[in-house]
Amino acid sequence: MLGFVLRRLGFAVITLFAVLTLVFFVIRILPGDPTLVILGDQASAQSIALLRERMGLDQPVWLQYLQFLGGALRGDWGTSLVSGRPVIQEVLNVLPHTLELTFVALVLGVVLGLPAGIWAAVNRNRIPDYVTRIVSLLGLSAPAFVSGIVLLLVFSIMLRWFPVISGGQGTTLLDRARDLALPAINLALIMAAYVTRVTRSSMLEVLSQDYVRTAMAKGAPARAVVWRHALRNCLIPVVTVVGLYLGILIGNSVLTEIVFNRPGLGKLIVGALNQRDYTMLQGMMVIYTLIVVLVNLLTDLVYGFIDPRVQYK
Amino acid sequence: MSEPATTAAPRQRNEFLLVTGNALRFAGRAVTGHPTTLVGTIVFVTIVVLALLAPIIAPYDPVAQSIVNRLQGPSWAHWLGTDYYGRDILSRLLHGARYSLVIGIASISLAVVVGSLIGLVAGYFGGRIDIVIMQAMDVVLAFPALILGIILVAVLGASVTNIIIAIAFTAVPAFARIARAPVMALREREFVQAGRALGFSDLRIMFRHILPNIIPEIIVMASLWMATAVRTEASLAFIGLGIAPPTPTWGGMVREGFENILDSYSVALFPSLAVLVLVLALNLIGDGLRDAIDPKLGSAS
Amino acid sequence: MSPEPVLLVEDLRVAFGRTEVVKGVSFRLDAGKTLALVGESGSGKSVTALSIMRLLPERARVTGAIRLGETDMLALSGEALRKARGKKAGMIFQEPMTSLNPVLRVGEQVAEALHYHTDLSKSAARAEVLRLFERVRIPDAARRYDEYPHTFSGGMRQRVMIAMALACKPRLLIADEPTTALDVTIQAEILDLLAELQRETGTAVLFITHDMGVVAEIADDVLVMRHGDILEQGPVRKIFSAPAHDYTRDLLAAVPRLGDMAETDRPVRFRPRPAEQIPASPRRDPAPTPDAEPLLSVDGLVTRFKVRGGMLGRHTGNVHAVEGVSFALRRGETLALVGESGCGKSTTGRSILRLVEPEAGAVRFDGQDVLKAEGQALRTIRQRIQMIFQDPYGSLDPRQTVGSAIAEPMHVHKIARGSEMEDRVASLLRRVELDPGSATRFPHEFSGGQRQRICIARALALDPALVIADEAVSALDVSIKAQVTDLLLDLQDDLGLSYLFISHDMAVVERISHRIAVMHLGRIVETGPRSAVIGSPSHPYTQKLLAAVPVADPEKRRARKRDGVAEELRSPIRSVGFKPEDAVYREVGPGHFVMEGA
Repeated sequence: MLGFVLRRLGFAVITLFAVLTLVFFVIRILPGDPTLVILGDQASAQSIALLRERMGLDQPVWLQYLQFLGGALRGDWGTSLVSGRPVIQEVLNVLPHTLELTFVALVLGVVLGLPAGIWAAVNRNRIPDYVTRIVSLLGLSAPAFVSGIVLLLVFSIMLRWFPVISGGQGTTLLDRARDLALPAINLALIMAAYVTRVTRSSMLEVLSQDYVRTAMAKGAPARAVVWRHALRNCLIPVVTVVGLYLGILIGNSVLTEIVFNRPGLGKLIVGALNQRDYTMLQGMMVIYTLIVVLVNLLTDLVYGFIDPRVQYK
Repeated sequence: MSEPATTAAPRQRNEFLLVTGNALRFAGRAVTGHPTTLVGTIVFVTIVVLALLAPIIAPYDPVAQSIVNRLQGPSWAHWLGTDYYGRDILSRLLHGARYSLVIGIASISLAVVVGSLIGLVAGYFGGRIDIVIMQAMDVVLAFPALILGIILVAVLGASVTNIIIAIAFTAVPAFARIARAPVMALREREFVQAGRALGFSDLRIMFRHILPNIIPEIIVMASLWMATAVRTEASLAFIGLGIAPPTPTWGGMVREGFENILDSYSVALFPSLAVLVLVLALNLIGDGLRDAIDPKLGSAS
Repeated sequence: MSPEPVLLVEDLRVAFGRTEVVKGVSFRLDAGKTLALVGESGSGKSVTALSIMRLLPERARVTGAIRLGETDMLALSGEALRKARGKKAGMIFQEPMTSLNPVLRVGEQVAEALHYHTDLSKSAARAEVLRLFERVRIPDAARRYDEYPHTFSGGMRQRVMIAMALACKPRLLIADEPTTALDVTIQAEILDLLAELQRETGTAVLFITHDMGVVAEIADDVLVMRHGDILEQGPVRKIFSAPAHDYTRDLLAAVPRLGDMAETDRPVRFRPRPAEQIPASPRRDPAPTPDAEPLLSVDGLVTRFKVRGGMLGRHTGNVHAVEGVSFALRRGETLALVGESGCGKSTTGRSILRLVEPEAGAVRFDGQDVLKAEGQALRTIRQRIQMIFQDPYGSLDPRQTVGSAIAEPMHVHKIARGSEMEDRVASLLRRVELDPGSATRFPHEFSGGQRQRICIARALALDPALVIADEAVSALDVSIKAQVTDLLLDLQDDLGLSYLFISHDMAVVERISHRIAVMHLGRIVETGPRSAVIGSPSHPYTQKLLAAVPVADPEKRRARKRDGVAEELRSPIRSVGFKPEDAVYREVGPGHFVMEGA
């Protein structure tokens, strides 16, 4: 068991390293001098040189790379070109908001999507199946900002049930929940759509397996066939896919945070984009990579618990 | 009189016609077989035709501002109302469709070609090559596509070409994965072994025997991923990484409308619905095609 | 006859949509008896079995009567039906590898059956399952109770299935091809076990199979089905001694006779060749010339596959698939390479053509060193050695017309072009007894046997001297199998081909081969003329293998010696650096060699 975790951890470190390298070179090597972008075409040679020195761009690329890697490991991700504060501090300030949002959305999405998918598969080619399929297709066709705007129009602007700006600053639990509700529902609906579809197809696949027929032949009731025999097998691909879709969820959280004007990584990255804050962008990539790598690690571990064929040795 | 002796070339063309004919008949059946696929196809074709005809049928110039007509609701003069600069929303939607379609189609075509080739090579040769290639693909795949798109467009600059490249880049690993799995299965199939035993070259086996067999799956995935590409393009534009204004793009229109959403909902709502309808149509088509290929999941029994 | 049959089926009809797949089947089965339901694919035998358990999909329309003791199975629904399944009748299936749930512990899956039908407590159920495991001879039952199915071999899983089916002491056991997916020695063990359990419990057994040899081993009564109809039914002795139907005779002809062909060393066709088909031109001497230089000689061939484990794919061991294999094959001769799954026979065939790269050894074909050949030289060799594979559905590109598939090798090797190519394709199709008009059709429009003929035509397109046939007829229905085997023999006569015939099927091997080599765990353990190897097997493994082959004679039903404990498969996986001992052979008769030691 420990060996398995260590091995996955080792793999996670390799992935992290690879993405960091990718991020570094994408930002450095691709055309466009960041100093020109930041200061504009009319900037004087002197101010450009000054900025280059401040960003460490006057040093050889390999040295910059090593410094970048070393810094990333020590938690020194540079200072924001705009606010002048350490990037890591800015990131950690808003990270809890994003984590709160995505976590609630993930749980809600699985809670909604899993039963819906099973319900559709068990009632294949009957009304529940058709309804679920169309609704879930709608759910994964809507970009997060479209569904967000519709929710905002209906529940905040027309019905006034929820605040238009979900500051995420509420002190009481109820306030927090009210702030969180619409953005989380928005993300959860998208997540639920994905989970429903993968659960349905996985369940259909499992229900056609030989061992389901064996279970029926020994007199297992329909309930036991679905819950005892099919569900765990059906979850194996679902877990993989939920891990993958967490990336989609994180991407969509950016859009959701913008629509609902909620603090978080999304607003931070858009702010950094608009103000050409390259060190901030770089730090954002590091944090996103960390999240993704951790999620993958978690997925692998859960996977091992469900499927006995995965060896923990 | 008597049939002229057919040579190898015409015979192969015959086979090509037979295969193409089969594929078209299959696609026709897939489209007409399910009502939902048919609806998706009709909607998609309609959007394509409208986009093509946009310069002719659009009632107004999409970038012509008119301060007196700002933020009007739907009316006979402006079916879908006007935006903050008094521009006709319908005309902008029609022209914006062209960008959504061009970017969607071009980026996915690029990703299909590059990704499939990578997947084909990795899956066919296996071993070290496979491990290295797929590990690299996984690293890219692990990253949220939208975030990757954001960073690429931010670095490259927001032009049509750059947006196409950025979206294609996020989709390449997916197509490499999609292509690789069936290639690995096919590689073990006996007709591939038979080809090797018959002394066929690797290139011949890859392109003559394996590639045609994975094309249906690739096409299905291309239609589903085109939906994603359209969505990503709109999302990028919504964030402010779209083609520079005043060029009309759907995502950019939503962005502008969203700033004034308390004054007029229509500016944000109509382009939002346009994105939704196009993505839904593409998903319906992809879904129907996938069901046709893998009847286990579909409604056909 | 006992007054009350365990199972009574009357005028059973099953239809899917408008197609009727079972067309009025009636039979009875008494306690302690075994009824064999025999037929090929599409005969409706499995559908009949599934309809007794009511396990057919909902869209199947079932009419007639199925009485299990007092119970009218077709009248049951819901809870009553559930209670009948497993309690009144148990069932085991063909695929042991997929019939157990991979994420549940093996013991629990058996205990579950007790849970549904009895009031046993958890611990009592566990004790009962352990007792059942002992009875189906699963070694180390207490430990294996808590293991998952993927740690069990196919034969062991089938024992678990039997324990599960018999857990609630049903009066009927339905066995749907329970040994078809198993190796012949494992099949013998399972058949023995079933017979023994039947003697102890008096259970009636409905045994579905396509193999008349198995029927002869176990059945009291036989029912032969084809296309949903009953062709013939009666006591097993009568069916075997005086079959009334031609089709039954065909099925019987496909069963190994083992020894009945001892008088000749030459291949024996299933059916004599019609005189008008024998070419008038003087054909080549069909008997291989013993003294000439062999067409193919394999010397000390070794092929290993790396076993990788761990994150970085460290090399943790080797599968010793082929270990020091040597043999020679003369022109016009057939050498059969026989053995059970995993013995390395297929890998040997593939190594010769270098579809997998051997690690050591020498392969000489017609004077050329195959393992050193590269580029054009290798292509030329591959032109003269052809291969036919097992799966007639997988060995043709589904998106290529038959004509194009046959023409492609000639195109690649620049043998023919234009109209000459057209003519050659047509004549090759005629050669394998297909209509030349088939050239423009796609593989899915043909049956399995026809596809295998197409593959043969494709192999012949390059005028090979040697054909490696890897289980080439194993996937075919028995009647088709006989036809394709006869076709291969005709081609050998007419074209002087040599065959390396890789197969586990003794019925075909004993007819097609001049010589036999028996493989076990990567080595040839015995080789010699067919009559010698089958007539006087000398290696313990060969003896075990031949003893396990069912023989189509109910009179010869052998009282096998039972050692009771089932044998786990020995694995050819060894750690890195393992040095196998060299095999030493002893000549026990002219050209008949046996490996020394275990």
